[in-house]
Formats: sequence, structure tokens, C-alpha cells
Amino acid sequence: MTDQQSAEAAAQSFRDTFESVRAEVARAMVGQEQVIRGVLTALFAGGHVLLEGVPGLGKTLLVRSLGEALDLSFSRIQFTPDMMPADVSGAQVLVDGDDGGTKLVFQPGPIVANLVLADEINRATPKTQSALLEAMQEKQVTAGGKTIQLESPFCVMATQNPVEQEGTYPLPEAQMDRFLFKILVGYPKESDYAEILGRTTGEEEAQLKPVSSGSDVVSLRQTVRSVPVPKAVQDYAVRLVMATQPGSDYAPNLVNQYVSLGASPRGAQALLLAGKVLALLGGRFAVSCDDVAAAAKDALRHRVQLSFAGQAEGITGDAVVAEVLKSIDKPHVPA
Amino acid sequence: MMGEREALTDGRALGQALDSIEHRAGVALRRARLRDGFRKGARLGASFALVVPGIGVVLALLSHFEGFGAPGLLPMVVATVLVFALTVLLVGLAAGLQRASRKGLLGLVDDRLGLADRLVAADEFRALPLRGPFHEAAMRDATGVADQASRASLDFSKDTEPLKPHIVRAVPIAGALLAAAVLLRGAPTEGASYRRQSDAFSRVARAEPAADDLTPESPLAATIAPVMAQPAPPKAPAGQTSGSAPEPTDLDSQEKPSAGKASPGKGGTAKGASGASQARGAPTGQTPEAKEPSKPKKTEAKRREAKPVDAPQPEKKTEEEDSGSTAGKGSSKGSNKNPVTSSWKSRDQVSSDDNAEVEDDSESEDEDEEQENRGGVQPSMRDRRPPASRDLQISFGNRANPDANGRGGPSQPKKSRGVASLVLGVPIPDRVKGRPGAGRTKITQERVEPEAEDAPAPAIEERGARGGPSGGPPPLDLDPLTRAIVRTYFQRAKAPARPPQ
Repeated sequence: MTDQQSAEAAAQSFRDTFESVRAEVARAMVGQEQVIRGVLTALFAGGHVLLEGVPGLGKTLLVRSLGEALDLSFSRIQFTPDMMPADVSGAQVLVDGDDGGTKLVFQPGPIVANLVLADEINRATPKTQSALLEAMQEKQVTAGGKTIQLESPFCVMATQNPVEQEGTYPLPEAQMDRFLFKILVGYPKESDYAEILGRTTGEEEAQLKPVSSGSDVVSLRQTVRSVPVPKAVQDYAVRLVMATQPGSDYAPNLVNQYVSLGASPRGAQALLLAGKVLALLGGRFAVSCDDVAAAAKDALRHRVQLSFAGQAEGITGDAVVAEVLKSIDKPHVPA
Repeated sequence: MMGEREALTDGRALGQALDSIEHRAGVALRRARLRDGFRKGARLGASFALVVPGIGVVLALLSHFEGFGAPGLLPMVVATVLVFALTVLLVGLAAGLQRASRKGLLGLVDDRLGLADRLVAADEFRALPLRGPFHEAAMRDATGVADQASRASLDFSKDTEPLKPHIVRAVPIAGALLAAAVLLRGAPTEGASYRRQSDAFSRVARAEPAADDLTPESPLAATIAPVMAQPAPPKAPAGQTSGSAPEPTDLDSQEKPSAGKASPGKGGTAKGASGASQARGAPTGQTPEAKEPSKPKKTEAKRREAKPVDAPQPEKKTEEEDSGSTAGKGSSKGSNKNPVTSSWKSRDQVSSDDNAEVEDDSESEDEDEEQENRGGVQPSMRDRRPPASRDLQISFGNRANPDANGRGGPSQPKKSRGVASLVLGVPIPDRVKGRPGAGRTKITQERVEPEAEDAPAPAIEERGARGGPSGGPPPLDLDPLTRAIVRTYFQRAKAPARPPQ
């Protein structure tokens, strides 16, 4: 088996696994194909996902189903305003020792899992939210003078409600930047309602079986990282990110007028990683500009901070990204 | 080893295929750009070519009225065609001579055939010294699509706008303009007819030298000839003639030749203007020509009636009127109509004699006139009120601010200086912000230990008897009559001393 054949086999394996996991999750979650695809893309790209949607759309169900389909350890943290960082990362507790005395033992928090559902993450204080920062970036937790490496794959899937904003703490920029994707969960289609009602109000519940494992996810992540990126595509991703930064050479008028903070280099990383996954899913072995453009909305919408004028005018992150995509041409294609 | 040889073979084959695609794409792109350029040039040329017939029409008009020479039909047609052809050629060649790089050409083929940058990626990976399995796989993947791309027909033309309507529109317009130019050129010119008429007049003048007193040297004959030469004489500016005729109301003086800058033919008009200008200085000397019925004149006349130059100055407003017009009564214009008035006056308000008062008068006059035009005094309606002043100050230094009354607007409740979130219609995210980076709170705590002071106690013998009374006065157990006397005594004693009368 040559290298070339191994690459094709790895790509085929990736597509098969992706499709089987997607199909298994779809057994529990009706509709929302784009959301499932986006979550899986972020998972295989090695990133975290922020799901935004009103209650009752199946965000928690999606993450739980994903844990079952991938046979990963799953934990859920319901964020509340009185939650403390130790409630997330864990703390040292006094336990009875064998010799009759007591000793301090580190009790890991719910963050120590493969899949962590941070439900309504914006209800916790910034102090508690920041407990996730180290876990999300360095894949480790430090508490009580002890650092614990989190088991790979580690993926945080946070949810937040876009409507009820009273009493919430908007996520700080540093934390928003750590999410590879922000996926908007919309209402299901009319044709999906009958299926949803049939599955959720009937006698039987869908029992998911694991179709892959954590080790498979880790190896598939390695496959994703092996996909090469042509120089022209990399330039395109860089220009897209720079176009979200007000005052840059590529920024369109909308950005200069209504955006106060653009995407960071993490945005370009997110574009390329997601582009690699999309290239593999498209049966290709190199990332194209179309892959980058397809990932742009999910990867950049939460990295764009609107100014007061932008908020007052009702401009959204999606509108900014759409304008950026319209204004930036593929760098290698002549006009 | 086998794999490497296979990859090399594939790489060479891929390179040849990419070269072929680049060549074909280059030719197709050049052809498409030339075609688009010529089409663009044709559209532009159709517009530019209309300029020549347009110029021809203008020249023909000048020729018609002034007797200039105009170009013939053939030169105009040749120039029109030449402009069109040159525009098409220049724009087309400028577009067709642009070169595209190899990456650009391959990217264009990728884009047009929907190959998702396979050719560009493969061409780049082919040049890499070290290639990984995915590079090789990408090249192998591109080899298949390169064959397909080398056989596909390439058309990079982007200009899909139809050309026919532009040409169809331009040709009749150009033809019509050319026809108009030719017709104007062929028609007898007005300049020639004037010359013939002028000659006839001069012949008549020479043939009848004794007829009446109309000699060629007489002033009236000198007046007639220029009037004919200039059918539409321009109106003489007032400044030129204002000082020329001191007594323009005398009808006999109309027949006198004008002196100064005005030409003889402009005498009548110049006189009227000078009369009007004089009337501005002295109302009694107004001539009928000076009484223009236009609106500005009426306003000026009204102003002159109210304030004649020689009339005594209007009485200064009383102090109360000044106060009412500038403070507490809203705006200066609507203060009398404003039911909410106040007699309060600031010390900063100083009545000043400046032009502001005059301007206010003119404004009020305009308003009166406007109300007359509307059919009488109009009620103080909402849309006619002056806009609310945001100036909370009641004076500009020493000068009174007529529009401010210290309440933030004329007869309106005081404006609150709220933030933008109080303005309806500005959506503000309804959320409680956290306090990221609120900063440190500095607490200074000073701890002072109590210290004993060494002070010698005074000796008992040094202490003298108590000098003054100690404590409050003892209750006086007096009968009511005595108590009243005592109270009266103390009240008088503690009463403040009255100044001497």
C-alpha cells in the first residue's frame, strides 16, 4: 500500500465514520442536518462548538446523542449565576484516610470528560466562565495546585439562549475566540414535526449504539490535519479574516462602519481546519477556496464584535461575514 | 520504488496536461477579453460618436445666427465613424493585451468548470520538493480532472450585455443630429438677413436726408441703429447707472442721450434702474418705473415704511419687554403669543444694540407677511413652532440668547439629558453586563497604637475654689406673678439692642 493509497484510504475512512456518526445521531435528532454536520465538523477539526438557539430545539439531545454514538464520556454542566469555578474544574475535598485520619483528595469536576455540555453558559459569571478557558485551549485543568491533562478527544459544546438576555453575562472575547464554530440552531421544518412528535411521544425511545470511539476520533483528527492547503487558499483565508478587521486593507465599508473588533488569527486557523474537513467530505485531498468560504459563517460570526452603531442598526455577525465573502475575490483568479 | 516511479509518471503527465490547459485557457481568455473589450468599446464608441454630430449641430447653429462657417456633411460623417472605430479599437486592444499568470489561468479553469481548485493545488504540489501522501493523492485526483478540463470548451467571456440596443439607439440619434446640422447649414442665416436689413436702412437714411429732423447725425437715429443690431439688449446693471441721472423723473430727460457707461440704446432701461436706485435713497422721489410689484420690493417698501431713513429711531423697548422677549417667555419671536411667560430675568442679560434686533424685526415682518398670505393670523400650531432649543444657557456671555430661557426650549418642559438608551427606537441589548476588569480597590488602613502621655497631676493645694457657677441654674420656686416679672426682665435683658433712632 503506497502513501497515496493510504491517504485515499484514510480519507475514505474519514468519510465513512463521519457518515455513520451523522446517521446514528440523526436517529435521535430529527432534522437539523446542517447543525449536526456543523457539530461533527467542529468535533473532527478538534474544536469546540457554541450552539445558540431558543429552548426546546434539541441542543442538549444532540450533544448527548453524539456522546452515545461516539462512545465518549459525557458530562453536563448547567451554568447558573451562583456557580463557582471549582464547580466546573473540581476541588480538593477532605476524605477519610485508611489510617483513620483525613486527607485532601482532588475531586475532578464535570469538565473532566470527553464531551462536555456547558448548558446556558452565559448565565454563569465571567469568573466561572473563565474556568473553561484553560480546559478549552490547553486541554488541562489546574486546581488546588494540581494540573490534570484532559483525555483526548475533549470537546466543549456550549449552548446559549439568544432571547433571554436579562441577567446573563455575555461571553468574554477570549472565550468566544476559543470556540471553533458558533452554530445557530433554528426551528425544525414542518415536515420534521411529525417525526419529532412520533419519536418523542411514543412508547419507545431511540436507543443509540456506539458506531465509533474516542480513539477513532483522535486518529481522524490526525487525518484532517494532514490535508494540505494550497498557498492561494491560505491567502484567501487570511484575506477573509483581515477583511473582518476594521481599518485593514481588505475591510469593506460595512466592516469599517459597524465593526469594532474583527477576527483574530484563530479565525484563520478555524477556517482552514474546517476547510480541511469539508475537503475530505467532498472527496478531495486539498482545501479549496470554496471550502473556506463554506465554513466562513460558522467560523467567523462570533469573532466579529459589532460597535454600538452596528448594534443599533441591527447589523449581525452573519451580515458582516456575508459582506466580507462578497467583497473578497479569490486571490489567484483574474478578474 | 514502484510508487515513486508511478508518481513521477503521473507528475509528468499532469504537468503536460496542466501546460496544455494553461495554453488553451490563455488563448480562450485573450479571445474573451478581446471580445469583451470590443463590445465594451462599441458601447462606449456609440456614445462618443454622438459627440461629433452634436458638435456639428452647435456649429450649424452658430453659423445660422452668427454667420460662421460650418463643416460639411462628409467630414462630420467621417469624423463620427472615426471616433467610433478608434474607441472600439483602443478599448478592445487594452483589454486583450492584459496577461494572466499560469496560476490565474488554472484558477479560472477551476472556477469555470467547478473543479474546486484541484488544478491550482496540483500545480503547486507538483513543484514541491517533498510531497506527502495527501499531496500525491491530490495530484492523482487532479490528473483525472485535468484530462476532462483539457477537453472541455473554455469560454471566459463575461460580457453578456446585448450590444444591439446601444447601436440601434445611437445610429438614429447620430443620423438625426447630422440631418439637423445639414438642414441648419442649408437654411438662410439670420446674420445675413440682418446685414441685408442694415444695408437697406442705411440706404434709406442716405436717400432721405431731409425727411423731418431725422438726420443720420441726430441722436434718435443713432439710437435706432443699435436697437436693431441688438434685438435683445441685456438689462443694464444698476450700479452702472445709479449715479448717471440725478433727476430721472423728468420725462423730457428720457430723450436725452445717456452719459457715462450706459450705451445710448440702453437709455430707457438705465433710467428706470437709476430711478429705482434713487427711490431707495429718498422715498419721495419714486418714479412709476421704480414701483416694481414683486414681493421683495414689497417687503422692502414695508420695511421702509416702518423705518424711514429720516424718521426718528423707534423707541427702545422697555426693560420689561426686553426681559420678556429674552428670558422666561420662550423664543423672542413667539414670546407674546406664548401663554407660559415668566417675569424672571437673569443678571447676565444685558440689552445690547446690535444687528440682532434688526434681524428679528425683519424675521417678524416676514412672518407677518407669511401669515397675511395664509389669510390672517394663524394659530400657534405645533408644526409652526420654532424647534426646541437645546441650549440651556440663557445668555451668550454678555449678549442675551433670544432662543433660550433656561428651560431647554421655548415653552417646553426641560429636556432631560439622558443617554441614548432612553431614546425610543434605539435597540439596546437587554442584559446585565458583568464587570470584567473593574480594577482594584485601594484600601488604606492605618493602625495607631494608643500612647500614654506623662503629665504631672496638679497638687491639691494649688486648686482654688470654684469661681463660676456650676451646672444649670437651680429651679426657681416662685409664685406665678414673680415668675412673670422675672421672665419679662430676662426677655428685655436678652433682647437685641435696637439701633438709636
